[in-house]
Amino acid sequence: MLNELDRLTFNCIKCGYCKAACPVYKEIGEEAASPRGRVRLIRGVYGGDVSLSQRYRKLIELCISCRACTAECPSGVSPNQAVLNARHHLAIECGIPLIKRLIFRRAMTARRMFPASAKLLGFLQRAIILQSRYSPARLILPILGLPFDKAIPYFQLKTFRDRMPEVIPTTNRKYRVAYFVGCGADLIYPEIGEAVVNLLTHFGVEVVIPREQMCCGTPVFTSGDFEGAKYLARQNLKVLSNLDVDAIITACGSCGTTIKHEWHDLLGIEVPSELTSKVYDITEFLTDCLAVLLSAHTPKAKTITYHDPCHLVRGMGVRNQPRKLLSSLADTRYVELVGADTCCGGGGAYSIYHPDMSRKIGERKADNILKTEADLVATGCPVCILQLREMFSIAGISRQVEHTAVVLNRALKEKSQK
Amino acid sequence: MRESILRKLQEISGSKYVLTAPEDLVCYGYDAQHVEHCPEAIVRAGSAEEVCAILHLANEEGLHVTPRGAGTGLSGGSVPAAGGLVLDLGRMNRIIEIDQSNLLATVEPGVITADLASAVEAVGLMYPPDPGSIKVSTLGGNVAENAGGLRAIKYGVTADYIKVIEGATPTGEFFKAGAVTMKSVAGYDLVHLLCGSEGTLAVFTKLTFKLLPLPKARRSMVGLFSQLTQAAETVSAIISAGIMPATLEIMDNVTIRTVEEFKKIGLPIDAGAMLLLEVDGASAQVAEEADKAASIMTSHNASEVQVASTHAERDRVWEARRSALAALARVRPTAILEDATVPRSQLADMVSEINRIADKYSLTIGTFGHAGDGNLHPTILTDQRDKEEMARVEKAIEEIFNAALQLGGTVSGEHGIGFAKSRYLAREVGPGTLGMMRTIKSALDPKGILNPGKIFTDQTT
Ligand SMILES: Cc1cc2nc3c(=O)[nH]c(=O)nc-3n(C[C@H](O)[C@H](O)[C@H](O)COP(=O)(O)OP(=O)(O)OC[C@H]3O[C@@H](n4cnc5c(N)ncnc54)[C@H](O)[C@@H]3O)c2cc1C
Ligand code: SF4
Ligand code: SF4
Repeated sequence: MLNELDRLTFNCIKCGYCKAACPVYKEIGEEAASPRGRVRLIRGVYGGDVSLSQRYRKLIELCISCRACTAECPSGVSPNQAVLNARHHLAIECGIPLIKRLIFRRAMTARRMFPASAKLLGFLQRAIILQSRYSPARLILPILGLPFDKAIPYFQLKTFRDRMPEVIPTTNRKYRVAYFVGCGADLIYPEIGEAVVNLLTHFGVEVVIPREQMCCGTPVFTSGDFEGAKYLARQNLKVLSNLDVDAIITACGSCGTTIKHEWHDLLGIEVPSELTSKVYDITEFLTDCLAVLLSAHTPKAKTITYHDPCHLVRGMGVRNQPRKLLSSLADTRYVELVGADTCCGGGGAYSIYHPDMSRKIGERKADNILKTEADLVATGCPVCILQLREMFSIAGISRQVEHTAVVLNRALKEKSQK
Repeated sequence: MRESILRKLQEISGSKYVLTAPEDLVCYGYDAQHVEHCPEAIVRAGSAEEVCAILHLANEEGLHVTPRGAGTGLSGGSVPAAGGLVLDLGRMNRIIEIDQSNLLATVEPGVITADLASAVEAVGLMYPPDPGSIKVSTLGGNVAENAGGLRAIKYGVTADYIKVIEGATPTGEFFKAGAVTMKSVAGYDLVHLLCGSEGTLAVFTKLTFKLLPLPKARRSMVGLFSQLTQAAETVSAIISAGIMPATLEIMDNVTIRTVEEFKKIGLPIDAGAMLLLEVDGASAQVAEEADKAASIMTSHNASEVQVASTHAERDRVWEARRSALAALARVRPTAILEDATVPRSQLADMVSEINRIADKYSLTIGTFGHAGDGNLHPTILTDQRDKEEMARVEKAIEEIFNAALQLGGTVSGEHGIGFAKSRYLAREVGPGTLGMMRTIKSALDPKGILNPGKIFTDQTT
């Protein structure tokens, strides 16, 4: 493990290029909170001049895994990957906090229990009206270390997968694909799943939603629990390998990146390249494989902009496709967002563990979005949607935030009605 | 560091901005040069008053203080060689004013160079100095190192733009040097003494720079050569023909290969060398100069000349050049970048010397640099852990500097002396000049508290 940390960080020449890209460093301004600093600390653990102290843990945990540093580093160092490995190392040496262990090892890895707990949570949410901003039930949030006004997503009483048949046929079938739903669309935003399925079937694609799929593992390994993530990866691999499909579709950059790269690169699992090459983001599949251009559709917004989810743009390399689709919508103007590909501060569970930092990063993003004067911002990741909606709600500003697939699907529906 | 000093520092800047955890100390012990020394504490100052108070305290207590911008220096200038305190200026990062009628910009020292460049560009102006580290380095660091950049050949270096410096003397007195007027001879030219002083004579807290109107047009091109010396000779030919490019850079084969491996932008990996050239100015003049430069390259054995026709192509060319150093670092674990500079006419000779030295010591050296300025960055690719090889590296560096001096050059074109090159300084400037420098230093900093161990060492005399 230590050798691994050394290998990952040895080529750093301390040029500092990565500092310019790091959203966390931008807020804190301390060298130790920059990617270059983290790389130095991790090397220090190997070299023996840095110990696994609380401060070290804090600095390693502050990384939001946006990969901006890795994209900048000319020396081929991936500070973000080094950080994930350092967390794994910490988990081995110091253990994983009990609460996370319960969630990762007990709830998420038990196939039925995770959706069941989410549903239970959904029920409780409705019973104790946590949703209202002034609900006294919110007093529990500060006790959990969260801001009083933290937005809590509504968990679904019936998950998306429960509601859907396993196979959704189409007329004029061109392709048959599997849809890897991911927790966000399954438990919180079922409209994303519906949009994906509608779009695909509309354009002649049969969709399979494998029953036994589980969480892709991102929240698990980003916390350093590689063992838990490996279990999930292997289960999912079993499910995905046995399907007779042309592609695996995701509508969440993190799920896509994890299947395409992290199972192999980070967790060291053998993933057949036939499988990884089949993974497509929904916008990527629509443009690159189906050559869809949705011209002449009219969505509700007049001006649209787009926010790049970190893992979609840097993990999966999907940059142009969503822009192409959104720009093609008639009667709307597409405007490019300044700093479109900088992190929104969502970062999976990051906003729960680091609410202040998450909010600071998010506010910058929200400001940039406001400057575009767009009335709708599209994006490709449920966590970004959650984060951006929260930023606007805190600021008391009304702005639509939607998944790209939802925007496209709405346009499609409006067209068919005409 | 003593508790009582720490408490006073906390009173000055607030405890949030005084860092002493071991994790922080190691992260303020380096810059982009490869030698490290840990400080005993870090203060992140927020104002000129705080900086004065800190230096005042340092004089009372005999505490060493090393100013620090972004830590991208390549001569170890911000590395606290003698321990003590690192004074981080990064928090002071406001652009105070952009004065369009007088073409001036006033900033705090922690402003990132690229942030100023894009802020003035947004109003049709240009801040020309553009070091390769532009996205990261601070203007305070640029002034302290008199940083050059890719546009230095036509537009000059930081010293050509700095007008006013405010700050604290090593004893903690506030000062303001220079004037915003076009001309001024009111006393000694302290601005140009402080510019390039490497954090040893003062700490800057506010800087005013001259700006230029943004050129109307620019055009970039790349010329490929089978041999490095051919490319170097072409540089002189272009300048003698009366063309003054905004940028004229050179990259050798080793550099081309590694950048291509990293950026995948279609660089010709078998070319022996590449010249990267940009002309700017009024449209008609740009077109004429570009054509002329291209034909000179062709008549000087360029196997191919490619002119960038779109913005994207142009950006790619310069992105390639900017990543040169760090991309070279992929080849071997340790990259040692040098900064030898010769008169432009001697460039071809210097290049041959570097090749000869690389062969002699069986080392891999990637050479790139600001060819138009005669400023080369031979970068030795090695492994710090290999003792035997490192001994050869030391000898090679020695020979490179001697060669540069013999050709009438200097041991540092732009990165400064820091501690990395202090032992070569005397060789270049001689005892009289060195004595004068020492006198200035000890007059301004009688206790020697500001950035000790830099520029001068015991070996310098
Ligand atoms: C990849 C790369 C490319 C580079 N390209 C170039 C180039 O093209 N041209 C070039 O000239 N340099 C270049 N450099 C070197 C470096 O970027 C410059 O020297 C830069 O000016 C340093 O700025 P900094 O803010 O990082 O300063 P630091 O490295 O933090 O400090 C540099 C020196 O300035 C002093 N200092 C910093 N702030 C202040 C202040 N406010 N008051 C007084 N003293 C201060 C420090 O004590 C130190 O001596 C490059 C470096 C890298 C890593
Ligand atoms: S960009 Fe890469 S080489 Fe440069 S400091 Fe960051 S990690 Fe190190
Ligand atoms: S992944 Fe993002 S947050 Fe983490 S170090 Fe890199 S740039 Fe910073």
